[in-house]
Amino acid sequence: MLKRNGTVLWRELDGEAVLLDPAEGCTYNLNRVGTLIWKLIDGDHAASDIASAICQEFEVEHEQALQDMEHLFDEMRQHKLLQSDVSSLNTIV
Amino acid sequence: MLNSTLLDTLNKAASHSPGPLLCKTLFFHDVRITCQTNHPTILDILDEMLGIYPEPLRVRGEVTYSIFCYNPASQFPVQVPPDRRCTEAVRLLTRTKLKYYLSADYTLQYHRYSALPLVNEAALTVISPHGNIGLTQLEMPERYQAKFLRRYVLLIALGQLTRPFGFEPCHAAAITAPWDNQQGALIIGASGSGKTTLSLGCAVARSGLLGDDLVMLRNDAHLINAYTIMREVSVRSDSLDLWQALSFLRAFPADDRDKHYCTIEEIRTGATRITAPIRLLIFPSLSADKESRLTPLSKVSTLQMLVDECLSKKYMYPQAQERLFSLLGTLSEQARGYQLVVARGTTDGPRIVQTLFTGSS
Repeated sequence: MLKRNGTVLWRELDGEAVLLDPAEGCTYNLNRVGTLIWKLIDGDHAASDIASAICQEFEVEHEQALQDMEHLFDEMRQHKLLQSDVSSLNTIV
Repeated sequence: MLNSTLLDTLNKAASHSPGPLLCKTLFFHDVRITCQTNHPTILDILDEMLGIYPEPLRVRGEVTYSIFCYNPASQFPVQVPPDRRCTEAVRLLTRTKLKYYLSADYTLQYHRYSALPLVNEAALTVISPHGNIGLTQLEMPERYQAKFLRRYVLLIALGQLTRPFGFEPCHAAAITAPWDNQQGALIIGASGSGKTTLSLGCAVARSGLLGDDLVMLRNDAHLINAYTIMREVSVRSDSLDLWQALSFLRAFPADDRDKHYCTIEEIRTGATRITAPIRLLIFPSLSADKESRLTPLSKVSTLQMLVDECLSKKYMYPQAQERLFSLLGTLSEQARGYQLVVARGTTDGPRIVQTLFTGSS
């Protein structure tokens, strides 16, 4: 299961999240979809469950949601926002 | 255990200090500060800095702050231990080098100041944030610039000592609405962003002024309040060109950065307000445009700007980072954020800020 990097500080404001990586001093802004994904990558939800949750909240097909999530997770990995022991979305779909 | 070790150290420092021990109980808002020193001038400076705070109805906590003077610095009873960890090195505006260290077990902070001729001699502060104890050792205090001692040594130590009681230092100016001192605004920006000029302009326009460069923030039952930490303000000569009401300050001596120092009371007689809840967050910048511009910020953008200005570049304990991030998040929910681009040389900034307070005409 994907999981947030536990050292990253975050706060949701008006449905959007601000993330702070304290080690790098970098902040990131997630839109509403990204915020929903961020909240669900808690180690308890598989990617397909998260995609389903996105489809319920927003008008998007399941496959498209999975693709968008893959892109987001790639970016999150680059910025070390995910726990490092998770290598690929494919392993958890 | 930790406290007793530090108390032993303090007792050792006191017993090695030349001169009689002078003690005084002062307050920083609702924190009682038991001060002890072996130098009468230091007690006068502490009295001047902390004497503005009345004894609170309810004391929230207590710290002990000792300042001992020695000659030379090699006689300091407490030195930075060899197994320390250097966390940050900065060059202060006076060009003095200040290094921050943590003890190997993370329980003690050290602030070591290098001597700089005509500005300061060597100094070393050791703080136990959770032991409520601080010790500053000064070499030949008579050779210090008084404002250096106040701003860069004593204030930094007091700021760290009061952190366990919820206070967080914030590099910002703070004002209140002229008609309602329960509406505060933080003016946040790096040096040169125009925050001092803007806050002094607001004070001239009858706003209350809690501080022009540094204030403390605290979450009091889910309401973030700003607290005065320093009644001294510094004004550049070009600000005096803008605000005619402050032109009397030209008679005050200026330092090598062309800054005139005075007190809030001298800028605005009768200004005694020392705390206010924050309702506005203003991020000023100066531009060559002809007109000033105000842009409302979303809560997310407000928090990002707050983090950029107040948190992201600082080294802190992880718990302290988390606490400050939480406080800034609450502040973003509590207060409306605005970017204010002030046209250089214009005087409309204070008017724009004051129209943002509730109840303005």
